[in-house]
Amino acid sequence: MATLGRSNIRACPVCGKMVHCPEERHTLLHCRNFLLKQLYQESVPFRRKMLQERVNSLNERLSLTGQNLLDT
Amino acid sequence: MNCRLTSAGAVLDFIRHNSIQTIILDSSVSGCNLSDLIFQIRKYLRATPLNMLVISDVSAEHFVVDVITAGCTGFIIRPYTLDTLKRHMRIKPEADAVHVSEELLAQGQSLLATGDYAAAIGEFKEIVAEKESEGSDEARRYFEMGMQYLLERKFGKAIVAFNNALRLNSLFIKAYEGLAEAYRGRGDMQNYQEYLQKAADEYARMDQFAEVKRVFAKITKQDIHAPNAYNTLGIELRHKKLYVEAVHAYINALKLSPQDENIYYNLAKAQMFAKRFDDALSSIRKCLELNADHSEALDLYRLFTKVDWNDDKSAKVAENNKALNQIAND
Ligand SMILES: [Zn+2]
Repeated sequence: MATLGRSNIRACPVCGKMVHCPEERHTLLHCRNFLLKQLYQESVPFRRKMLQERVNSLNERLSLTGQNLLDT
Repeated sequence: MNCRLTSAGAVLDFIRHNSIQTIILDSSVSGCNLSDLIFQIRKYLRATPLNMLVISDVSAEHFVVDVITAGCTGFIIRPYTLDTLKRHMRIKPEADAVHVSEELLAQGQSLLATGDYAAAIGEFKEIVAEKESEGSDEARRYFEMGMQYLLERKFGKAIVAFNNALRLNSLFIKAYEGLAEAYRGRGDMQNYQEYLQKAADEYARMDQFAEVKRVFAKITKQDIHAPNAYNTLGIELRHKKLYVEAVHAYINALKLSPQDENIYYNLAKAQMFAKRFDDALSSIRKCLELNADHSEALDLYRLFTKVDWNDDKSAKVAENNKALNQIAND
């Protein structure tokens, strides 16, 4: 299984996005955008609520407000 | 001449060899996706005005948004009456403001054909006069109205607004091309070149509008819970290097959410890539006035001014700012 050894894709522990390390830049701002994109497309109320909570906690950590994407 | 074609390839082939006024498309045309076909026809015929009606069994929102943004001029759902079809088939648009200019254009073109260059120039200039005056951009106004109607799911109105934007685009292109021809007729090669360039700029703008519509369609279909679709649009356009269009998207975004520091930050970034450094700095400042802890904006402020926001809140763009120029050129 040579591909496993070479594969540098890992799930981000904060947002769950599959990130190519180390080429892909991935900061907490990228996590925020990734979760927001999911929130925009989620229609199930309880999942929206959970996503909303994760976005809120990231906003707090980043000193940001609102639910609009940031150009990273 | 009437012609009935059953595949997308045949339609594209036919319009290459014939002059067309009206195309009626059935939603079940084979060989390609209908909105792609409409987009291809528009792309090929560019500034040529034409009616493009879609007769459809499908009225799902996704499908309607796609064909509208691809550039259809009418949408009819089955079953329909002959009256409905006739109403959509009217070649002559109503006597609106755009129509008045379209008549001027026809007059200019016939004067051009008879060699009366001075009179032709007069007609063409009257068409572009309003566009050339500062701050009036009717085509963009209609275009943005169309986008707003899409968001509000007022599809009939969206079609009319987008059509008017397109009619104005092609009107200006033809007027500039007419001016170029008339000046060439008078041996004025400098003005000839200048107006050809203006026609080319207007073609480019038409293509950009088409691209913006497609990106916007994707966003409004997918991100149904987004608080501000114009902000998402701005980011996508910035990544596609359509900086002028990105700036316009953010300005619309701010109309919806005037207190969102992130939109000011995004606007600053688009302005930076558009090389409007002073405007960009004032957007960064607005972002920081709303949120002094915005770390990305603090970094950007330092990049622009070479000082810290907390040390000097009214610093100017630093001169010979190599780092800034390098990033903006990326
Ligand atoms: Zn992440």
